[in-house]
Amino acid sequence: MLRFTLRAPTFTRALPLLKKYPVSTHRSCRTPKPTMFHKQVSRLYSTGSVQLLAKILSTLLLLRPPVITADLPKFESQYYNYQKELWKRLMWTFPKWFYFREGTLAEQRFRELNKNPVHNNPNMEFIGGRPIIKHQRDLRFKQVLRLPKPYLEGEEGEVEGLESDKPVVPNSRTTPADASNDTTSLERKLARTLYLVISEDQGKLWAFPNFSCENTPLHKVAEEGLYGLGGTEINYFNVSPTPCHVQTSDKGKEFFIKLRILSGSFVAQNKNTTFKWLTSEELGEHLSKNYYEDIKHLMSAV
Amino acid sequence: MKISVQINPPSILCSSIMFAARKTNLAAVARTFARGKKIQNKKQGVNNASTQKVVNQLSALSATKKQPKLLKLCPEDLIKHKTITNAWNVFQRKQRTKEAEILAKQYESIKDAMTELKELSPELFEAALKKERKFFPLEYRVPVDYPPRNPWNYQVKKL
Repeated sequence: MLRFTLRAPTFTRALPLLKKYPVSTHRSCRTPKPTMFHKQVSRLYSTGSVQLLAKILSTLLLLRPPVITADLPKFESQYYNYQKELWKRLMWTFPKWFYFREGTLAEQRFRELNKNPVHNNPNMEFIGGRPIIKHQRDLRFKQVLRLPKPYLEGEEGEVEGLESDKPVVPNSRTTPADASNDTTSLERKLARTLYLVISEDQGKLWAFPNFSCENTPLHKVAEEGLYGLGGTEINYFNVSPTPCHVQTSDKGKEFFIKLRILSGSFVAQNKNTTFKWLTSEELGEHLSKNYYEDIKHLMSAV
Repeated sequence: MKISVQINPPSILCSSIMFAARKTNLAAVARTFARGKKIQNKKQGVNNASTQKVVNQLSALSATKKQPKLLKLCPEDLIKHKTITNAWNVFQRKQRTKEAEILAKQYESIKDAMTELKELSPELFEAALKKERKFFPLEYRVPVDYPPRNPWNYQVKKL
């Protein structure tokens, strides 16, 4: 183990030197230069080997993937709305006779909801142009259809009818955790990717969890460290054992390992440890500016 | 001889059926050829119920009388439309270049990390490159438009 860590770095350190001072093949300069090169290499071997070794750290980037789809920005939603309206305008007429057989109750209900447009009366004057009616639809405009519902709608939005027939009301996209701005909750900002940051000094300095690595694979260290920090009630998924980034700090070389939390919760095992689940923008407020600039590209835009 | 006798009865049956079918067909033909009498009126539609069904189905698919009027935009509206489309294209282009930049940066940082790791510890480098056989977790959900009743599952089920 030790043999590896001591010998290999010095050898690879010498590689750029090889490029810088290529061993010339010309006869005239063959004799002096290799000796110089050998001197340099031997010096590196003798002194630099221990000093060059930086401490390897495994930094955990634990993220909670979004639960709901991203919120559409204003411009995009407006553009999609415009396209939808164009599409509706160019849509074919609804073949009513195919879906509602004539003389049935359903057809009667449909007819009550969808009144026929004003027909092209030759004795009338139309200001916006004469209507072109085909199959009870004015071909100049989009067709607005209202379908009979299986429930009765009363006053103030109350509905009567069978439970199974009632309209589906989707859950709110914002949760109580959003309302109370609970940063320790996994249910906040469901549309965003959240990242775990911890603090050992009651919230003065925030950082990603860091673990020192002693000849154990980086991802194994990160996974074990996560269990040590936040308890074993975490179901995580690691896409790859390859580190996604390296950051040099005063502690050593921090290798970033990305893990995804799928279920369970992070419960701080140490009393002094406080944690937060933050979006990428909020990370910028909690981490130092230079550090955040270096790792910004690792964060998801959503 | 015996064999022919055995075959005979079914052949008779068959011919009788054919004869019966032919009889009805002949009657139909006679009706259509009746002079001065229109059997199929345009207003009446098709007489046969099954044919009527097919005609209905086809009419639901066909474009006749169902296509709206073509969009004829006035110059002002056309300029508006072009501006909107142009803005969208610019927006998309910007987004695509931004994504490409981020991807390149991510690739570079992976590369840097791996070269550094190779220098520092070849053992860890080998471990980081080792491919494990793993399955995509079933608990990983695709984002949906509205959250479920319990947005987060706090129960850990070890599979």
